[in-house]
Amino acid sequence: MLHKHIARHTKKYVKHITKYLYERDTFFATIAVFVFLIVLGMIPINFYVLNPMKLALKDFDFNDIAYAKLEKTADVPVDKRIVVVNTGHLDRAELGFLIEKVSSYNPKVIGLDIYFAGTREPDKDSILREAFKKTKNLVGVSVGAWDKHGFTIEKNNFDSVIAKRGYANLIGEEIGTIRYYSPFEKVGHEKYPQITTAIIKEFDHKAYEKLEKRHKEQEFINYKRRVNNEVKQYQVIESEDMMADNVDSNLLKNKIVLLGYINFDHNDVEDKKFTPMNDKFAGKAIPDMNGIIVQANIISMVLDTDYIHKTPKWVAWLMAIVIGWIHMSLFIRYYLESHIWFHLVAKVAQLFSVIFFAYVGIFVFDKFEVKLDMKYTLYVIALAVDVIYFYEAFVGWLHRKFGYQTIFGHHHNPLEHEKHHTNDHHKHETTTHEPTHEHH
Amino acid sequence: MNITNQKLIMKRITYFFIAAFFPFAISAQENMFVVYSVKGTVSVVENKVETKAKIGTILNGNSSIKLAAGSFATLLCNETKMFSLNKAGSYSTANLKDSCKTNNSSVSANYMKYIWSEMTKSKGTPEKNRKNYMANVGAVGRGDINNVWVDPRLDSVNYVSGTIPLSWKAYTEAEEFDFKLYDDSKTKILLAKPVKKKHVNISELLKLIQPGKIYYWSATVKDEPENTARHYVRYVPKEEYQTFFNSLKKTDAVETEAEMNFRLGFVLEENHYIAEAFNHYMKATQLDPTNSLYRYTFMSFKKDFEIK
Repeated sequence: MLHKHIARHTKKYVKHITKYLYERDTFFATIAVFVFLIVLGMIPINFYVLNPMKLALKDFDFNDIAYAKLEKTADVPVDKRIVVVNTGHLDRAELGFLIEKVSSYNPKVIGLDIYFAGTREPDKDSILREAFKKTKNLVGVSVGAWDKHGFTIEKNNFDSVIAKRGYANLIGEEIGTIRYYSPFEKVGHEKYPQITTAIIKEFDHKAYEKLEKRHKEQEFINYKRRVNNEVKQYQVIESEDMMADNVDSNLLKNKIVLLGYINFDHNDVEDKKFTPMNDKFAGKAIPDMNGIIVQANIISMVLDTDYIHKTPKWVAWLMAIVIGWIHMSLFIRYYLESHIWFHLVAKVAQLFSVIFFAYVGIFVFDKFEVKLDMKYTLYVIALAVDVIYFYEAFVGWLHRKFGYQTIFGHHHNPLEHEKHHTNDHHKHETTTHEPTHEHH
Repeated sequence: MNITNQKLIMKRITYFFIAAFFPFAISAQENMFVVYSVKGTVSVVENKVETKAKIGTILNGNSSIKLAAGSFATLLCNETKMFSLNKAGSYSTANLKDSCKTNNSSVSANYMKYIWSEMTKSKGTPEKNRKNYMANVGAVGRGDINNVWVDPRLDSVNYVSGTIPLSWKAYTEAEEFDFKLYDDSKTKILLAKPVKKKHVNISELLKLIQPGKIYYWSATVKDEPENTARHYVRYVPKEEYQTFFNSLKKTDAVETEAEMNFRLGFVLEENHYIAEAFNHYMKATQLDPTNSLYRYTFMSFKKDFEIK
């Protein structure tokens, strides 16, 4: 008995949604939402220029909630292939000594995420130069920039002693979230690697080849690990511990050692970036990750061939169309038949749909590393209600002018509604506010 | 029975055994600990052999880790769960397995919890519910106001024998100070005495302190509010110091007696053995009086610690 009861009720509620699903007006109203969206997108002015809410959400991605609030990466183990040595504020001579010390532990590659602008004290520069010369497996940083000639690499006084180099640039707005990086850039006619690409080339040639074969101009960074006061998903060694030999002899052997600046002080933002792992998923104010840890995340991702896949744009649009269409059908049903409940139902449906579809996006991202772009779907759900009003006015005009037949009638006028009301909505298809020429 | 059927049955039996014993195999897994970071005197005991704990040292199921007072170690269990030990003592890895437990809630469950908490959270507005909106001090913090300053070098002292002054400086023209000695709880006062000098020799406290225990001290300008800063003194047992000293003494490098004393002085100072460092710096200077580095370091050391 119970199952019959449930089935009957389910059928009833499904009918609420599907009753108007195949109506011509439902299709056209859905299309109207997209037309509205496209027109809005084509306006070359940023209307959010003075809207703090929009500005705060400009850099927003629903998937960021997975990191910030849902502990997506809490159980990700420490990456044992990578060790980070904190250089702190060592001078050039001290850095030279540190490089030699690290090298004595026989790592496979040493990545130095520090660049040296100009010359300093000659004695200290000499010590550093000598360390670079001796350390054949060191990959250094180049300073790259885009100009009218394309991507160029700045000359540096240590170029002659650092054979392997890569640019450390990441892709993101000046005070924006770093979500992408470019594995290679063309410098003149040569393909020039990003520093992580250069490191991976030395460490795991197969992973390097796979990255190269992807032929992507930019890759999503699959952030999985962080290092802060609470969580440490990379092994970080302080330079003092390194110099005092407080490190097990096997810890660095045949591994990637990244030398760079790390600090755990929230107020120290030197070389810190905003990432999707920021505790604030909207309106990010304090950068959360040291640059060297961003590079470490890129290396882990490439070594594991753990790239993020993004669904093609047409999938996002198709989802938006189908989901928008179903919502439109539900909204029209309440708009025409139970107008008193229309706004309440629409708002509740919008709320639950946003919660549900945001969850779908997060779930797919968490389980399959696939980024579903739910943005259009959510826009369509949000706009559908307003567009119904616009659409009703438009088809009313079309009807008066050209006799266009529509399910939208005079539901606002109780008298007319009563006169024409029947269980079969098709019967008042031709009703208009001011009938001009009846043609039934 | 044909061969295909036989294979099928074998396959099923294999799967059955795998499915049946997999949970036991998991539960029988040993936790693996790795030393993530160490500070102070930390050692690992494995097969009754004690070695210095280093970053990256792996501890197996039979190992234990020993911490001296004031030291701490951060361990990583199964490459995922991190926890710190900061109380002196010996910890067997078998007793640490509870620290390996991880929170296994899924992203889906966390999402539902998050949505529910956000939807049901009601904090009101600042105008209507000020209690929820006053979680700020509204002023810059500069610690408690007091007119006594203690050199950070004296913030932690390991004492074995001899004497050193526990000294301070005053920002005012004060002539009298209140010196207090506390036990390791930092609250129970063992000694409170007014002093006219800006130091108290540790030898004056010997009747009150015992080897192996930790004490704290503070100094305040007389009649001013009590200084809340507590400075650490550990009375290190002679045997423990001797083990540590022997480990420092061992070196493969060829060095003269003066060089050895200078090196020991430096390392002991770094490890807060002030009185012992003093003796070795002094010996180095006596053994090689022409060495200006030794002389200069010894003079600076005496000046820094106000040793007359």
